[in-house]
Amino acid sequence: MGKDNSSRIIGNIESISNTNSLLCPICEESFQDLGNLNTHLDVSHDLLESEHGQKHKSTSNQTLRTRSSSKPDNPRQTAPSNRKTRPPKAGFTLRREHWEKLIPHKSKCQQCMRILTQKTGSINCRRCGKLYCASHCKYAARLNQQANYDAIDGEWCKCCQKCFMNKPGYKDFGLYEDKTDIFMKLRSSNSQDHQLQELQLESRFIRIINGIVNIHRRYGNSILSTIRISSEISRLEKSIVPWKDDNMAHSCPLCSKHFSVMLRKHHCRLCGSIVCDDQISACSNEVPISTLANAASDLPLEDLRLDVYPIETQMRLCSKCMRSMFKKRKFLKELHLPLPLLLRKYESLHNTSKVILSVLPTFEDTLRSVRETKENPNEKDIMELTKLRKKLLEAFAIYDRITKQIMQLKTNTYAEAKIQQSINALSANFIQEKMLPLKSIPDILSSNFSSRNSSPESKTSSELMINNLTITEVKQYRTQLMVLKEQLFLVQEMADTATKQRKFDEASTLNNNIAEIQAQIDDLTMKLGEQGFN
Amino acid sequence: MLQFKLVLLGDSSVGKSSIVHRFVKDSFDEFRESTIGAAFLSQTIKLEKQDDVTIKFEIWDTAGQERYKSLAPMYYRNANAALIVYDITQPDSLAKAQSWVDELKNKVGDQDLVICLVGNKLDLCEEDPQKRVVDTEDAQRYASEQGLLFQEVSAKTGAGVTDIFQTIGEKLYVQKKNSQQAASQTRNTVNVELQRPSTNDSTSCCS
Repeated sequence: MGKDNSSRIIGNIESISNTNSLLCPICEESFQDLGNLNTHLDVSHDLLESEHGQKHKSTSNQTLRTRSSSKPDNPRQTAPSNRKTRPPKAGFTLRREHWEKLIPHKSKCQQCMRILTQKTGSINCRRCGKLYCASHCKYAARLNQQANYDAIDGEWCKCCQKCFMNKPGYKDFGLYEDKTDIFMKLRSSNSQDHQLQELQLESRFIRIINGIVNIHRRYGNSILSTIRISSEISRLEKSIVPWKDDNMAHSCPLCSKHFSVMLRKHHCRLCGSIVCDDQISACSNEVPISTLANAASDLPLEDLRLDVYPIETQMRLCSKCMRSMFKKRKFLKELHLPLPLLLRKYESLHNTSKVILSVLPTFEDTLRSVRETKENPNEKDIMELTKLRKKLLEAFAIYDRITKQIMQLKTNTYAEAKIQQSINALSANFIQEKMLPLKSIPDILSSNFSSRNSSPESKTSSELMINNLTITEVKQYRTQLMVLKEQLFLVQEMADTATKQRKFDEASTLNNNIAEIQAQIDDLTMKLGEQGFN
Repeated sequence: MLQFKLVLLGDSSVGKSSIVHRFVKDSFDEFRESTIGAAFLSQTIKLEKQDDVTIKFEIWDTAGQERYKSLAPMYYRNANAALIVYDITQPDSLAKAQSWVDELKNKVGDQDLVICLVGNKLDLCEEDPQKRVVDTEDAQRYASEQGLLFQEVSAKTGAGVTDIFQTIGEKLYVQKKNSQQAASQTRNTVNVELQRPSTNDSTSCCS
């Protein structure tokens, strides 16, 4: 059955791809194959850049000529391209008044904000006139002489990404085709098959179980009850499920082992197929029907308890039927069971982390806005920042507490111990990663605080740090240290090159400077103490 | 040969590095990257008015960006001369130059420090006189008030660049000579010239 399905799917896909022709992503003209589309794209939407429309036209025509001459036996290929090309326009001059002038050392690329140099190159977007470096003006749009979009009569001109995307009819993702419906259809037909199979198995299961119960009721009290019952049951089973012919089966369909004297053939009582009873692969098992009935308690089964003792008949099922019948049921049942303590704790841990993650972005936004308006911060922002910070700190405290609780739980199995370790690692990671923005806050808050309250008490409490440095001083020293280290590196390089070039007096000057810088660095590191870099 | 330490100061992108490169390498780069930290270059010149005198400038070209401001004291300390550069098309850069002058006067005790105020980008104003924002007269007046040398230059065309270094060199040389004379007069000792004549000028090898 599975084979039939898969072949049908392949057939469907083939029919889909056959019925759909290729569409040009730019003008949506349809083409029979990729070659045609490629030629069309090259010729009609030639994206080769050129400074002048005139020059461009001639090259475009050349490519057209070479293409059509190289394959004269394929008329279909040249047909669309001929239709699209126009005679070259003489004297196309693009308006240049709107171009931004290049100011050396000042002009920046509008996209990457680098200062335009000879190395980066500089191009005006033909459409908006703004300056870009060579790598950010690689798009092309059709413009008329007034530098407005003209998709029909315009010439291909260089433009920036912004103008390229603002062009009417621009599609960001190229050609888009929705195949969800087809996929859904295929998938639903597939899953419907599965459901049908399951239903069939279920109805067989119900009939067999109820039949067995009835047999027990009828013959339970007779003298030869065991023999009678087993023969009746086997007749019942064969009447409900068509058993496969023993002679046709040579190997187990599930584990592919060959049947032999040692490996007996067995029929699955639900699907009727012949499987082995290998203990290791567990292709089939005899299961007490009471267990089965318990597992499928949602089905309309008769009460298995006959008189006082339960029926102890067993039923052979192959692993495939077992799975399709009971896996989902087992899963659903376990969903309703209360979780073990470890997992419950983890759930609350997870919820706390969710809270932290939801608060954190707002917190970072506020922090950024406070940082930007460093000189005169908004009172409301600071209040908000303090509030959010408090909330976050509380959440982190809870998070930490739960982690500790989890670590104190006793684990019964190896798997549980492993889970416990993983949770521990995760939470340590989480705290370390997410606490980072919080760490940088106190100095902002306190520096703002101290700048607003100039009373001496607040100053001593919030502005002084461990080694008698104010926060602003620490910051200042840190940047100085950074600059000095950069400079040390530069001067060391200069000294090395001077030595290599045998400019010894220069080298000695530079070495003196190195010593000076080093002294300053040492001085600053001393001053910073624990606040410095490690 | 006399050696002098010279430092360049001024706002960012006024053309300090360009002036130095014009002076040292006689070249100009339209798209120069902004300086990181401070760059070191040296150049030997012969004083035109005193033909037998060669002096060597050890030039520290500092970055104008605010971030590197903390480096400047290290380089103007013990400097013999300072070139304070501003851009004649940018009014703010003159104000910055003035603040540099103040800082030098306050922080450097040495009265012999030669400070030269330099207005750069003269070529822009020759193309288009309207681009000039800082008048020559104003800057000149300020310079004479503060006792600074003053020159307007163009690093691009090279106009006036060597003149600055010539004037600075001469002034430094005269100062040095005077102080040496004063020292020899007071102590009344024989003046022994310990410094050997230069072997490091452009005509000798291994320069």
